[in-house]
Amino acid sequence: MYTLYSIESSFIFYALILQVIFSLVTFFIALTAYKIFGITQNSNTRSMALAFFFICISYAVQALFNFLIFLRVQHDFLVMFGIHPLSVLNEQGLYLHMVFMSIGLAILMFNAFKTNNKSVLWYMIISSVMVLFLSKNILFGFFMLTSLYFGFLAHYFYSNYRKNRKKGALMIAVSFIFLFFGNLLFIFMRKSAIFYAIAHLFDFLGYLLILINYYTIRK
Amino acid sequence: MSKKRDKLQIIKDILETIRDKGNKVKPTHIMYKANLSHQMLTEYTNDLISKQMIELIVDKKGKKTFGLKEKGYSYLNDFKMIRGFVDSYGIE
Repeated sequence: MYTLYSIESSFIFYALILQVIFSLVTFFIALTAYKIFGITQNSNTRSMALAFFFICISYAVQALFNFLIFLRVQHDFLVMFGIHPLSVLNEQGLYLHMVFMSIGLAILMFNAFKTNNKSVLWYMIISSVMVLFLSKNILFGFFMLTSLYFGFLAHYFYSNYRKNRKKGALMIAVSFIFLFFGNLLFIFMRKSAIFYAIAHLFDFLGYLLILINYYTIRK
Repeated sequence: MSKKRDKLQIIKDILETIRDKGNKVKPTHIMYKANLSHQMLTEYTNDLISKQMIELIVDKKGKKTFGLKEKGYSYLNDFKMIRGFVDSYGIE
């Protein structure tokens, strides 16, 4: 059995808290987008809701598996209930997180392309999943892929801000810039655990801006 | 010079016109109040009927009026949120 990566055990608790927060923030956005779809029947808002829902699930799955690791559940206890040993659990959680996140980001990208051609979406989802599972270093492949996606989305949202000059659009553009750099830094976490912590900080700042924007438009 | 209205704003203007006229308004009134051409009015009202935001009421004499439905009221109540979300995420 191989380990995908090693992180400081002290970080697991903070990472877990952040993943729960990210899951909640993306859930609120998904809910709002779905509510707007219910009123306007705009298919783009439905896609938005689906994308953020997948991202929410990806963080929830990651948080759940990190929680089990954090609890240091006994090996025998898990085997008794037919659950795999802890190291496999960690990897399964990571794989699920990566698949759901990739699908969510692919849907967001599809929205950004402003096309009705559904085959583009399927092509992006299938390519994303293939990149993940055919990569020699799956984690490196995942963070490179998500960095590319976040980079494109950051550019798209920045272009949106330049078009309409609204404060909300600026907040979202900056948030995705933070998320882009956060994902980029995850690539270097093998070098030092500090990159893992700083990457999470960037992610936190990104989702904080998304949450502030959500509060502003809902009040 | 006034700013060009986008689709969201035009829909709001149409729904507000219907609401402000007691939920029963003639098509021509919407045209003048919401500043729409006949073609635009037809396109938008057909779209809003299909989305169940408004309904077309035809009386015994064959006179047509439009009325707001529940989704239309929801659109007006939540317009600020819809506008904010659409502008923030660049949704068309």
